Amino acid sequence: MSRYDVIVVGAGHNGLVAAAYLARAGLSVCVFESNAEPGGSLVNTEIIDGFKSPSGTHKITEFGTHIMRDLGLYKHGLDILPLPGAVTLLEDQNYLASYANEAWTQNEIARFSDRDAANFSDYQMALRRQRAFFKPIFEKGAPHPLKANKSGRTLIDLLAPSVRSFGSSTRHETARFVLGSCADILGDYFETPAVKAHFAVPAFIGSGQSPSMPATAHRLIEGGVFGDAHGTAGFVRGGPQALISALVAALEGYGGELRCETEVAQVNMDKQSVKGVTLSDGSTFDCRVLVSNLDIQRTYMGLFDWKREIPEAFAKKVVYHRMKGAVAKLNVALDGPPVFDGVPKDCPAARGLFFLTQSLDEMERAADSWADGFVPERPVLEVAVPSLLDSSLAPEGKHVMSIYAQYVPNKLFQGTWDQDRRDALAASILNQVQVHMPKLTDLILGWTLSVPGDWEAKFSLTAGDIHHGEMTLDQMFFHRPFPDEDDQNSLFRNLYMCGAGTHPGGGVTGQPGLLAAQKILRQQQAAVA
Amino acid sequence: MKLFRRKKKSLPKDEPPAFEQTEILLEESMSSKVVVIGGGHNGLICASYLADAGYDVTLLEAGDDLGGLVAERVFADEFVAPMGAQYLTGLSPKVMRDLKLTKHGLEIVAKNLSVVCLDGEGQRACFGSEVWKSETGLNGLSSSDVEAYGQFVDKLTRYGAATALMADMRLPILEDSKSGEWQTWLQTLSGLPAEDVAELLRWSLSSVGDILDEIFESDLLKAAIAVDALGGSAFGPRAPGTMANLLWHWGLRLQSKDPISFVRGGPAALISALASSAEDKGVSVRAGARVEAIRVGADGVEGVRLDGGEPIDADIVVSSLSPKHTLMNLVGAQWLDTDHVEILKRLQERGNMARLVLALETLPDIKGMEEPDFAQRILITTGLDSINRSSRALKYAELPKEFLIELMFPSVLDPALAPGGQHVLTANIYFIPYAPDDGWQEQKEDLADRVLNAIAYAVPNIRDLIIDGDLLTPPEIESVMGTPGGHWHHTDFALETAGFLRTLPNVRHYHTPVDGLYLCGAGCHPGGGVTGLPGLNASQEIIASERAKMGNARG
Repeated sequence: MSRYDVIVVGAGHNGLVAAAYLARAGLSVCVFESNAEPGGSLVNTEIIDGFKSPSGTHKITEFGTHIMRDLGLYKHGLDILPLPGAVTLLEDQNYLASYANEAWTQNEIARFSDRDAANFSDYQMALRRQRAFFKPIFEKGAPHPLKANKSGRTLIDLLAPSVRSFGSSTRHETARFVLGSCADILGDYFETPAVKAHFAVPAFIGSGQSPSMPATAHRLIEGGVFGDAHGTAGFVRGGPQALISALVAALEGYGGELRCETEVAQVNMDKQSVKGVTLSDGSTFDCRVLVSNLDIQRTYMGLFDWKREIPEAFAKKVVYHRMKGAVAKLNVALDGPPVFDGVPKDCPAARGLFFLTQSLDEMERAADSWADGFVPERPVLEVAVPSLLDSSLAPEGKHVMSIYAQYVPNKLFQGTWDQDRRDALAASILNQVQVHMPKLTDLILGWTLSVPGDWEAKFSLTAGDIHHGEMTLDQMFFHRPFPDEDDQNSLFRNLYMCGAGTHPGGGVTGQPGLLAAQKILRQQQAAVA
Repeated sequence: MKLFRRKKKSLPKDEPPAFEQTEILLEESMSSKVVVIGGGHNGLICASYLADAGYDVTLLEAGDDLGGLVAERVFADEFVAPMGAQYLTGLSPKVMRDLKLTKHGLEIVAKNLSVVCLDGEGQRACFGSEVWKSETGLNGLSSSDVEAYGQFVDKLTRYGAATALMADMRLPILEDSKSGEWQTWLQTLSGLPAEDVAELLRWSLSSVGDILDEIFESDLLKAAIAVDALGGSAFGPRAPGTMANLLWHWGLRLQSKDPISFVRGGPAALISALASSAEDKGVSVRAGARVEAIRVGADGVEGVRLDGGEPIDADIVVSSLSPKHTLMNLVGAQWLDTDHVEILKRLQERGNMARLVLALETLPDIKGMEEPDFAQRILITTGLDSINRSSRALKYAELPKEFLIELMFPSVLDPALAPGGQHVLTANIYFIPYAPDDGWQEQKEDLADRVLNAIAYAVPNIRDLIIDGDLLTPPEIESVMGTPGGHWHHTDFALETAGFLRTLPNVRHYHTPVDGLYLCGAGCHPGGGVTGLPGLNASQEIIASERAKMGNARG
């Protein structure tokens, strides 16, 4: 068959979510993936024989429970292991833990400051209020603020119920959460540097911004590690790759197809309408709808005749969409269980995430280095040992450690990411961890390191930006990837985008894929009718 | 665009004007006693308008001279240096007209000053609204920059106009969603093409650096443009929201007939003109009267108490000082909601600029400078990256290692400011923390030395020309100007403290939580710069709400 209703380019989680929903609606769907395996950066990497670790993120953040339910992902083997907790390892052999259970967290914070502990529930309440405020645009999409789209709604219409139902002080709070800095908001509630850093670190993974920058506070709303009403957060048994397997099983269950090692060379056009694709082996496929899971630059520069088919004004918007990689990943194979000094053995959080950043200032310094093109002296780390909860990742008694190192630049001020620099970065990360785990050196069996350029080479993430474009306010909501009035977010008829470069953006939520599928179904039905 | 302007209420034509009522109102306002705290330009303007409306107005100035942040200082005998504003941002034409400032001696000698950016090695770029009309304006720019230049100024003008119209409109507050003012505002925005709305929003949320990177190639040109987004800001050119500052700045320019102007005698001459006008209107001015407290009772404001204990009763008190100082120090937290106290506490009212003043024997040779440039604003920097690194000093409370320096030669614009043939140089040093961690005691001299080195990079013989000079740290500026905090904008100007959000939640613009106490300084909408708009807008708001109150009481 050389014709499908829908062709999806790229089998990342959002591409698969969109494909599965469309197949479920009865359309014939095929996903083309250029890599050997689906999943983008969620696939596992083999560090050394028998040791598997996630290539990219080790945790999923708020993956939509409604998506899991709709697509029957649990039936297809998805097993989410809720995050038991998160720990900041402090330099004085102390530690600070947080849990999904707020009372436990409060007790932990009280070891540092009674005032901070007392304010913690207010902080949580504020986050909940603001999540609720933005829920309509997270769930329904982000149209132009003033010009109604085809469904007749503007952004202001969507937010109006929230505006009406929240009291006046909440409105001011919302303004601060949108326009203010993360450091200011945390400063309102907390005085202990380690407490502030504990909540800030996971909120900035993948971003080059620093907590003192204006308009970063919204990251706190999205950046919780324990999930919320929108979705479930945690490790996935088998690694995030198991989520991909479940999505593929769901897609195939609905009659959709996945073809790996199949590269789309170009999109075939009929006037201003997409009519199909040509693969790199020369074969062609027709389709009614083309969905790109790629980022905006790879979509328009990679799939089209950039010079001929893309008008200059539009081309500028594509080029100006800022993509900036800011994170490296170190995966380490360990010969035995990693034991962090200073954390009691029975502390439940010690099976979750570890942070090593002592203060927001430390994040600022690291972000400054990043902006100048230097590798920070102390990258900001998020460490996980997923094998503590999931024995399928390493041989019995052995473990894998997965480390996100934040504020690592893609382009260096001088030189390139040669082996020396990679070795130096790995050593600096491991040294930082070793301070809290003196036996680390003896345990290391091997490691692999990915810097932003590697994300680009392996997973087609332009500039190594894991969010398909900076998550700054000027690139969010209806500016993700750019505004238009016909509610289609693309230049050509029947072309859609569904990746993290579309609203609501990066992270493993599945929401961009779902919103794209809903939009396609709405518009295609309208076209038929 | 006209929608932004408040419609003038016209009286029904078939009815005679209600003279009786006007007279009664006039009588009542005559008996109302107003105290205005602070003799800066906004305090003077507000006082004049209130006196004109029939109030009995006393203006109290703590120092011996009026002027606030527009004051000047005579040094080395005969050299006069502006100590605050180096030029007037964009004086409101209404204020010029209503207060007859020209008649009171205000003479504008130059306007639309450009920014000339020098890298110290002979490279130069120039930015201003009139630049392409001058011979040397576009020298040194690539053809693509020259092409982009005009388009960019057009856009700034278009988007700035949308902001300008907000500057003197009655802005709604966030909490009042039922207010018709919101409807008006949204309708006006809806009147713009959808693409403009989208881009205006994108620009407002972006960093000035990111937007300029999209448009221009020249690092020096970008710096020359970006500087107006950074004056008094706590952030560098890579921080989101700084592009909004630039649009705001252009808005304030556009509402004025004389934007970025220099007046004969220096900016302080504005104060003399305003003082003379105020006297004409019947404002009584008391200098050397420092207000120690604003007296508040159960029914609202009762008056003020001066240093030394003298009480002055008043029905209405208007403070041109910063909202934080006014409410936290002069009123006192006991009269405020805890929510408001929390917000006031985190407002930043401390300045982040240092000021260098030098008396020079002659005009120096400056690498890359052309003759007309001496009358402009001169920026010494290598570009946005350097400015960005410099800006980080503020968040770490340390002194910058690289400097962004904006200098002017006021004596070129008005030779009377220095004795024959000699000159005055004034310079703003950006991103200097008010309270560096290592203190000022040992660092001040070092800072002055390093700033001179930075200037010497572009002006090699500067040290040989100096007759006298001084560098003022932010706390010194605060004490010299007698303005608590000494911040240019009285309160940090950023996305979350501008426009609708300036300054307290659930309190109408220019009002305070205390009945009868109002604000009229740069801490109010539309913020700092020498526009006179906060003072003007406040006076109109006070007159309108006091009349409404009387109407209600008559009821």
